[in-house]
Amino acid sequence: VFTTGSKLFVGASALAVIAAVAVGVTTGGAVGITATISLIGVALAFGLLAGVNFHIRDGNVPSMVPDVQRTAAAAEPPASRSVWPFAGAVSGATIAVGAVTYPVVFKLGVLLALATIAEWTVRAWSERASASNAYNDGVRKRILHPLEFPVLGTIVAAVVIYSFSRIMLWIDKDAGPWAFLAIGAVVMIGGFVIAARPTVRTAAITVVLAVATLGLVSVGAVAALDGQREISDYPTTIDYSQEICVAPGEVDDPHLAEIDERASQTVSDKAATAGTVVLEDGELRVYPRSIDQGFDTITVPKGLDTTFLFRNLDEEHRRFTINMGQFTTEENGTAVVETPMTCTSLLEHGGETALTFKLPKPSSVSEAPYTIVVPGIEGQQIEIVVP
Amino acid sequence: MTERRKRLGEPRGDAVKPVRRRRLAARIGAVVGAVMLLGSCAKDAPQDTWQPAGPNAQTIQDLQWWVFMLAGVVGLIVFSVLGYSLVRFRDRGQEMPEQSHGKPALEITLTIIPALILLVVGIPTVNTIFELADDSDATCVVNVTGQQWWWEYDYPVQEGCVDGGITQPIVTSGQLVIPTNVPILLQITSRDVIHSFWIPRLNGKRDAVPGRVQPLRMEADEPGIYSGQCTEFCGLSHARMRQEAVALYPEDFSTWVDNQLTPAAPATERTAAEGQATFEAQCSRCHQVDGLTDIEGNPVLSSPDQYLVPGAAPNLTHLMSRNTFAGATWDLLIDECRDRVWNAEPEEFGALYLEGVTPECLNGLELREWLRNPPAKKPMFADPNNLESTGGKYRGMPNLNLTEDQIDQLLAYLLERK
Repeated sequence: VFTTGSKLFVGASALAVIAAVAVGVTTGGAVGITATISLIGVALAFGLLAGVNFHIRDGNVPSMVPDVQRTAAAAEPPASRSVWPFAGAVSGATIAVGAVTYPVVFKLGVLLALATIAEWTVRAWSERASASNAYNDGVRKRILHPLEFPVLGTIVAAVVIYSFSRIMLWIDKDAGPWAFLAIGAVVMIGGFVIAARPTVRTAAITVVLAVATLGLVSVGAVAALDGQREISDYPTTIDYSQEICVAPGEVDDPHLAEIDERASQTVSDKAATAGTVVLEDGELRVYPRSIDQGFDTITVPKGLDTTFLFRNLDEEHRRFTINMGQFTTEENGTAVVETPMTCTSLLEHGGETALTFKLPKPSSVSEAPYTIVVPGIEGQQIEIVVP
Repeated sequence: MTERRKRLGEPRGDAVKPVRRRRLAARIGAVVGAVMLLGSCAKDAPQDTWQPAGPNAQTIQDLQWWVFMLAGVVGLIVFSVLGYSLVRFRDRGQEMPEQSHGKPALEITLTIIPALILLVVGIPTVNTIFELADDSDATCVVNVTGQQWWWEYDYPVQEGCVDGGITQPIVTSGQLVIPTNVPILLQITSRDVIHSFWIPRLNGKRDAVPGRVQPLRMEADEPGIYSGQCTEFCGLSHARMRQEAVALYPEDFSTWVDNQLTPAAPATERTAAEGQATFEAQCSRCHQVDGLTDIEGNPVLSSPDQYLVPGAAPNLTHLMSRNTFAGATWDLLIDECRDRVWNAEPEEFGALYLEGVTPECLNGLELREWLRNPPAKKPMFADPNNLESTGGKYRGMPNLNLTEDQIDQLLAYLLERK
C-alpha cells in the first residue's frame, strides 16, 4: 500500500517524533523546549512529504502505458551532476565536529543541513517534473532563486562587511581613515572605469572582483586571527568617581583627564530633570522643577532614578559632586566604611550637564548626610533628604 | 396556505419578513438606546469627567462640553444621511444613478467645512493644553511615584502647602491629601514601568515614566474624596492600582500635616505589642513605621530595595489615618462608615476624615484576607519559586504565611497606627 518514497518519509517522521519525545523528557529549560518544538516541526514536515508521496504514488509512471516510459521525466537523465550529496556530507561532518567543539559550529552545520535538504528536495522533484530538462531547470530556478539570491547576497555582504570591519579594527587608529579613503577611491575608480569603458569584458571584471573579494576576505581573516589593536575605554565619572570627584587640577592621570576634556557642556533634553543645581557667585542652590526659588535642601524619593541638571555660572571650571552617604559594613570581622559618590565632569563657565543617580536608602540609614558639593568651594552644600 | 393568504388579502411570506426585520431592529435599537440613557443616570459614578471639582477639571469641562456637542451634531448628521442613503437607495435592481464626479464646487465645500470645524475645535484645544501646562502658580509640591501596583506620595520640605510650610518630609500612599483652593504641583514619575495618574474630577491624565518627572496641576474646590485609577496598563494588577485624592480645608490639612509628622508611638495594648513584634520580624523588612525601635532602642529601618523590584513599599506609620489599603483597592472602613465619610457635607468632612479608622469602623474582614495571602487577593509577581527574572525580588507583597493569631495581633498593632 505504501510506496517506497512515502515509507522513507514515514520512517523519518517517526524518528523525529521519537527524538522529540526523548529530548522533551530528558532536556529541560528553554533549550529543551526549543529542540522539542523544532523536532515536532521536522516530524510534521516529513509527515507532509510522506502524504504527498503517498498521494502521487512516488510519481511512478504507470507500467501499462508504454509511451510514457519514453516520454516521462523519469526516463530522462538528470540535467547535471548534483553537489548536494557532497554538501550533505559536509553538513553532517560539521554537525559532528560542532557537537564536540563549539556550539556555533554545530549551529552552522544544522543550517547547512537544512539548506541542503531544501535544495536537494526541490532539485530531485524538479528533475522529474516533466520530460523536458530545460523546463525542469526553469522550474527549479523559479522556486529556488527567490530564496537563493537574497540568502547568498546576504552571506556575501556579511562576509565582505565583517572582513572589512576586522581590517579596520586591526590596523593602526591613524591609518584607518587613510585605508578607508584608499579602498573607497579604488572602488569608485573601478566603477568609473567600468562605466566609461562598457567594452571591458565581463570575464575580466569578474576576475578583478573575485581577486579583490578574495584579498579582502584573506586580509580580514588574518586581521581576525591576529585580533584587534588595543582600544582604550572612554572613562566616565561613574567608573572613576573616587579619583575624579575632586577639585580642578587635582586629577593627575592623563587618561582620566579625558573625562573633562571631552565632556559636553550643553544638555539637549532637559524635560526629565527633577531640578537644577546652580553655582553662581560662590553660592550653591537647587531649583526644584517648576519652582523659581532656590533652596539648600531638596527631597528626593527613595530608590528612584533621579536626574538633576547642573549649571556652572562661576568664572572658574567647576565640577559638582554628590556624596551618597556613608555606610559601614562588616566583612570577616573588620569594619568596612563605604562612601559612595558620583560627580559631573568639569564644567566651564556657562556649561551644564545632567547626572542621574539613585539613593536606595533613606537619609536616616546613612552615617553621613547625602549632599551636593563643589570641590574647591568651601561652606556651600545642598542637603538631599530621602524620606 | 398561499390560497388562504390570497383569500384573506395577506401579504406573501417574503413581504412579511422585511416588516418583521424592521420591527426587530427597532426593538434592539430601543433597548440599546434605553441602556445607554439609563447608564448616564448612574448614581455612584465617582470618576465622572462631567462633574469637575476643581479649576483644572473645569477648564477641561469648559472645552469638552461644546466640542462634544459639536461632534455629536456632526455625528448625528453624518449617520442620519448615511442611514437614509443606505435605506432609500439600497440596491433593488434599479438603474445606476447619476454619479457626482468632477464637481469641484461640491468637493471644495466638503473639504472646507470639516477643515473649519477642526479649526474651531483646534484653537481652543491648544489654548487649553497650554493653560493646563502652566504650573507657575503652584504653591504646594507633592512628589507622586508610581510602582506596581500602588502610588506613593511624598511631600518635600517646603514653605508652601500650609501656613508655616512643611518642615520634615511626609511619605504616604494610596490617598493623596491636599488642601482645598491651593494650586498643587504634582511631580509624577515611576520606579518601574509606565503608569498613568488620573483623578478625573480634578484634572486630566499624566503618564508616570521611569527616569522622567512629569508635572501636573491639581486643585480641589471643596473638601471630599475624589477617586481615580491608573490608566496605563502596567502589569498583572493594573486594574487594581487605584488612587484617591482627599481634599481638606487648609486648617484640617494643617492638622493632617501635624499628625503625619508625629512619629509612631509604641504599641499600648498587649495584643498590639505582640503584633509589633510580628511587624518587626516580618513586615518591617519592606514597610517603614517611623519611630519604631527594637528592644535595644535602635530604630527599625526597612530595606525594601533588597526584596522588591521597585525598591519601595508603603509607609505604614499612619496607615489608619487613611481610608484604603493595598494600592487604594480596598477600603479600611466598613460600608456604613465609608458612606458617612464619602457623603459628608463639606463642613463635616474634615473632622470625619481626620478621625481615621476606629475599631468599630475597621474593615477587618478584607484586611485579614489580605494579610492571610496577599497574592490570592490581588494578583502579583510574588511566587517565591518563580523569581528568576527579577533576581529573587518580588513585585508586590508575598504570602508571609502568617498564623491567625499573628494576623489578629497585627490588626491590633496596625489599628493604633494613626
